[in-house]
Parts: sequence; structure tokens; C-alpha cells
Amino acid sequence: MSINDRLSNATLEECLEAILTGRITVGECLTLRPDLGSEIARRLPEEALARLSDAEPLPAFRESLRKSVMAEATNLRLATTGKRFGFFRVRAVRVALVAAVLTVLLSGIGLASTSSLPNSPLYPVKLAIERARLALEREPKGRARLHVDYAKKRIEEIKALGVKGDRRAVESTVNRAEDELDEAAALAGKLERKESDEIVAEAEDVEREKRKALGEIEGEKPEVEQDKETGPDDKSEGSKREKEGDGIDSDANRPVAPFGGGSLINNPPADEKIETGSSSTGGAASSTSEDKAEEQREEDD
Amino acid sequence: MDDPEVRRTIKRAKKLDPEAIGVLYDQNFAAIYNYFRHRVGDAMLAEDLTSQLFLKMVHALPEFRLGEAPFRSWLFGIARNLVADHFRKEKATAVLFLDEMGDTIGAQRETVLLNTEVEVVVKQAISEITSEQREVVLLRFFADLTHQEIAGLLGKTEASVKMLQKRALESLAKKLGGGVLVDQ
Repeated sequence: MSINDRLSNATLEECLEAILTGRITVGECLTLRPDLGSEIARRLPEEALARLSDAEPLPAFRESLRKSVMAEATNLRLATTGKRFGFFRVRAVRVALVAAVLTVLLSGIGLASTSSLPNSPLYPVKLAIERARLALEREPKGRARLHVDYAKKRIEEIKALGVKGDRRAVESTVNRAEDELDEAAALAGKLERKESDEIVAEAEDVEREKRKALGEIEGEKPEVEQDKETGPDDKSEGSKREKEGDGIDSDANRPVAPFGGGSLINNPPADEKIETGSSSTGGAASSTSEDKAEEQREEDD
Repeated sequence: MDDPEVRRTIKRAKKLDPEAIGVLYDQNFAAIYNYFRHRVGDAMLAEDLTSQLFLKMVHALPEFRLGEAPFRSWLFGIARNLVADHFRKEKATAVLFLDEMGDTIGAQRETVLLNTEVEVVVKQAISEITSEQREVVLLRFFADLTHQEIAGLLGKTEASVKMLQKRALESLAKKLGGGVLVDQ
């Protein structure tokens, strides 16, 4: 069977493939399938560009540059931190931190700062104490738990700030809470399954609490809306370009909630807005994060 | 905006963790190389610029501010500056795009997935669109940036970026169709 015979019954994809691989011209294709004209006009440029963009240099260059880049990072790190923080200095810093924390706590300032909010003068003291406690905790589990605890505190602060109507402080506190949860999630990946599950479950509770608090502040229910709007994160070129039609990107018209629901661990939508504190999670987020934690553990093993 | 997985990697990379930097390298290498390849039109020069870019990335990463701009957008900002520096140094009067037909070294070094004839037509077509349209097409299809990110990089509105892309694709369709698709 000749290519012309085959093309007379060909699909759009087969026609595009034949054109792009030079087996047939656009004119010949349209003679056989005149009905595909507008679709070919729409898809052909994008398909051609996509294939052109897949060109890559020899793997040897890629690998050799990768090694150079990683070596540069190692050297730079040693140059910037190695000299300043040798083993003895790290130990000295730890001792100094303990002393500083005890002093602050005993002085009463530390106690007063524990209930301070982000716009309070004592708030930096509160954060400093938290960082000091983290610096003193070496075990990943302990560190993960501290991060979750700090995220809980941030949520309490968000609620209090919401009552006061301090939107700016709410946004920065949301970012802080998400950073704590990110750190907890990263550490959870290094733990045994049971411990990891505990941390993940606690962190997800905090995440839900965060969404609830933000929903109350905004007077809406972001979780449900966000899920409907974003849907699964489809990365396939075909579907992505398909949605964009004549080059107008559908994501431009997508509404962005001031605060969305948040995927806490591992599998968020691609369009999470960090600066506004929005993120989202779907019903599958929990199972996906468990899968990822599982993968991480397998890799560690 | 970067997703949490990427944010975690960036946080580690900001502390110059080589493993995290390796991940960022793997995620962005092909897009960066292709951007340079089609921006400067020479495979060897593209490799050189790619090397420069990733070494610059390592040095600039500690200063990268999470939440201000997506990482990839930031990276392509550096790439654009490198290209601009290159042309300034070379005192180029015009931005080259089209490969020299005799660039056989480049052809041998790369894996190209298009039929050679079609590839030549595509490159020719892209070389004939305006400089602004070309920049948008490269950032959109080679770097996979969103219209919003491209608008931020080029200092334009999102609507004008979309319009530039639309015109570029229409022009490309005409060239690829040899005039046949114009009437469709």
C-alpha cells in the first residue's frame, strides 16, 4: 500500500507525522484529506517547534558539564562556609546558642515573646528562639516535629492576624508556615515509615487547619473551588498545546484565589503562588504524598 | 510559580548542595541548551554559553529569592543577558538565528528529530519572523515559560506576548504549508 493510499484514511496525527518527517508535503496531504486543513494549520507550527526543541548535544558534553557544575558548587560551598564554620566553631556556636536561649528565657523576654504576633517588636525574639531550638536538635524526627510545631504556631498567628485584618502579615505568615511544612516534609522522607507517616499526618492536619483559617479570613471555601479549577497537572505536550488552541494560553484566564488550599507534601499543582501564600491540594494529595514518601524511603534503602 | 518539590530542591541548592544543583541542572539543561542553540545559531557557541550559564547559576543561586519569580524564569533572565553580552562583544549588528547551511559540525553533534528538509524550512521560517516574535517563540516553545513569565522577562503585557506568539505561529504555518495553508 502506498503512502497516498494510507493517508487517504489517515488521522490528523498520522498526517502531521508524515509531513514532519518529510514523507509527504502539506499540499499532498490536503489533496487527500482536505477536511484536515484548518487543524493542520493550527497544529503544524507547534508540532514542528516542539520537535526542533528536542535537539540535544552529545551526552558526553552534558555529563561533563554536569560534573563541572557540581564541582563548582562543592568548591564554592567549601570556600564560603568551610572556612568560617569549622568543627570547633560549630561546637562553639552551639554552646553560645544554648547560653543565649537560656538567658533569653530566664530574662522573661522569651516568655513574653511566645505570644507575640508578626507585627510585634518581640516577634523576632520568638523566631530566634525557635531557630535556636532547631539548631540544638540533631535528630531528623525531632527536627521534623519542631517544624510541624512551628507551623502550628504560624497558623495560630494567622488566625489572630485575620481577626485584626492585617492582610500583609497574614501573607508573610502563610509563607512561613508553608516553609515549615516543606522542611518537615523533606525530613519525613528520611524517616522510617511509621515515624514518617506520623509526621505527614500531623503536617496534613496543620495544612487543613491553614486552609480553614484562610477560608474563614476570606469568607470562602478555597479548597473545593481550587480543586475544580486546577485539576490534575497534565504535563503532556499534546494536551497542553491542545488547550491553548491558537496560541492563547488558558492559564491566563484562570482565576487565582488569594489563598488556596495547599499541598503540603510533594505533589502540588504547578501554579502555586508562593507570594500570596496559595497552594492547593486535591483528594489525591494525601495518597500521592504517601507514594512519594514511600519512593523516597526506597531510594534511601 | 515553582511547586513545593522544586522549592525544596532550590532551598537546598541555595545552600550549594551539589546534589540539588545537579537536579536543577538536569531539569533545565535541554531547554537552556536549545534556547542558546536557536538564539545564536551555532552548536559550539551554544555549548559554551550553556557552560557559562550553569556556572553563573551556581554563583548566583545563594542570592535567588524564592517566591519572587519562578526559578526557570530567573534562569532564562540570566540566559538572555548572556546572549546580549555575547552579541555586544561580537559587535553583531543583528541577532543571528538561522544555522549556516554548512554547519555540519553542529548537525553531527546533535540529535535532531525532524526531517532535515522540514528542519531547514522551520529554521528559515523562524529566522524570518521579527526579533520580538522570535524571542517569544523561543521562550515559549524551547524554554516552556508561561505567557506571564515571558511578559515579565520582556517587560511586556501578557496580551502583547500572546499576540506576538499568535502572529509568529501564523507566519510559521504559512511557511511550512508553502502557501497552501493560508487559504484554509
